[in-house]
Amino acid sequence: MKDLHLDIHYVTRVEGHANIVVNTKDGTIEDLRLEIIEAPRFFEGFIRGKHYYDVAQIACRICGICAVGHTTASLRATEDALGITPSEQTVLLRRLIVDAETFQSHILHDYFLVAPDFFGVGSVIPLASSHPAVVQRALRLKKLANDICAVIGGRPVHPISMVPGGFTRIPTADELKGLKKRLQEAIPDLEATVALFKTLPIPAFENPTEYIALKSEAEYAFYDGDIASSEGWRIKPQQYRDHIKERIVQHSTCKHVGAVRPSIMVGALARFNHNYKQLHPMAAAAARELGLTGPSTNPFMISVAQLVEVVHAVENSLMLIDELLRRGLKEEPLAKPTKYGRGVGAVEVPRGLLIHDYAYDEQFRVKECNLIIPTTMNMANIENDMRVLVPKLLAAAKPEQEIALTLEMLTRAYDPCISCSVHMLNVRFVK
Amino acid sequence: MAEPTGILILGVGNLLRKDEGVGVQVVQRLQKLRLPRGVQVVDGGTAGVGLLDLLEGYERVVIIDAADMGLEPGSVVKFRPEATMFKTPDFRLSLHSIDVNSVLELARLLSKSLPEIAIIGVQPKDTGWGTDLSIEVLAEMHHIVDLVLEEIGYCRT
Repeated sequence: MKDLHLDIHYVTRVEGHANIVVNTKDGTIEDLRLEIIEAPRFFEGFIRGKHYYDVAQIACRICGICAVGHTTASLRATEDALGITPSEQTVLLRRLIVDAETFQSHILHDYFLVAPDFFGVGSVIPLASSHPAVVQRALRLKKLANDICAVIGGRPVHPISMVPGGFTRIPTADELKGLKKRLQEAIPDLEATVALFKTLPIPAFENPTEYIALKSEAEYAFYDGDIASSEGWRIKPQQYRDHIKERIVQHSTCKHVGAVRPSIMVGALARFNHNYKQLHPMAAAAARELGLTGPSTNPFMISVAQLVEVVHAVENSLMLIDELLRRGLKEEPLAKPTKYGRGVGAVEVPRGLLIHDYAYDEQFRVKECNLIIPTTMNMANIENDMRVLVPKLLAAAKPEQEIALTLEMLTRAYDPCISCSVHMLNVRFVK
Repeated sequence: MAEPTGILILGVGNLLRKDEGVGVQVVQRLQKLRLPRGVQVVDGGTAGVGLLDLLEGYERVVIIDAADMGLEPGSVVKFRPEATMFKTPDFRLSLHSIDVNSVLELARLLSKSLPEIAIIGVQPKDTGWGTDLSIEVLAEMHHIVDLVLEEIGYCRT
């Protein structure tokens, strides 16, 4: 069997940079690492000393795609720590904007990062040339999701109206009715998306792991729930440190995370595996059509689970809007602190479970904080998958280029967010 | 569709990455000024592909962003996208780190009509974790604001 020496720099089409290094000798893996260059490790430094009112505004800047998720987890951690109880209207509005972010992020991931592989092109830019209608559809759907975020959050990116205890601005009934109409009109685009993804060949590969997600009896959980594991444990978010363990690894600035198993998976497939019986009808039908049945142990199916979640998010958004309109929107004062101490906010963001953990002092300033992002929780499992996948690809005598592409596709399937990125322009002036 | 109208001043970047956030820091200063009607100042943050939607509907757009132009830190250059060669690695497109040029290229391929665009690039010194600008960039803030105002024909009195 040929020896493999892969050193792929800059996996394309994921946030930031990553290097995949694989060295095999006589069919045995000598070295395999997913080297992560950056992680949001310094967030803790930014918010220490900050007043509770200002914390979420910093958290929302960590990530442009998961801004709503970070804001929501941050607010929930603060509210847990300070004994602030948001109103039912506030919770409904937060659930709506969380659904919109799920919708927006998954559509972007599936169309812009995953689909190009299956169309045999390097990125969405050549896809825009060869299949403009496909890309236009993706942008239409993304725009709708962004507009929902703008109406609820006050801004299309980095929500500004979400604060501890409520909202500084609530939408009007007309705005919600307008969104409802557009969501209903988007259903043909969703159906076309399901029809397209049904034709894309998902690599066959099974590698069971420990799946961790929020779980709630009330619904397919995103905003609220216990943290549950496929290994059987289920805890309140405040107890996460007893079960979810971070460890430092030499080859990565990103810590690895384990629970019962040394590696775990969070994200759309983990959520699906726990909660598929709670999908709304159209989403459940989409899952059947796409060949996704629960529980699934194929990491390449993460992208399919994401699409099912998009359909679910749209159905859920319509239900939430109807509920808000039925109740009637009311201006409400912000709910206030009733104590100070430690609190945890655990929320499902598009890429998986996100945990914000804060301790406040008597002046309502942050004295300690911890943050675990979903991509950190998945890193060890991506390597675990590669360790199982590489020998299979070698045994099937796949050429090196195909092995490299398959490993890149596996990494992309996890939709990792490796850095809160530097995206600046790279310019040379033409003389 | 309505005729495009007005001017957009758009600052993009990550506020938590020091000089990378210069575009956002500039618009935060501009938001304190009373600008003429028809001028919108928007904090685009790390909007990524969402930039496409932000550009829609305007006649002219001024984008302020950190840019590696191979110049001394703190250098500020105003340029039109057509007059430059953007060095983006082949098809290096990612959700968060998509740059303005990739967004414009996507718009062109999808035959979207674009406003007239001017970019004010600021050469960063440090894009590590932090909310402070380097002294080289901080020293240029007034100049950058002046360039923006000049571009929109606004006189400081």
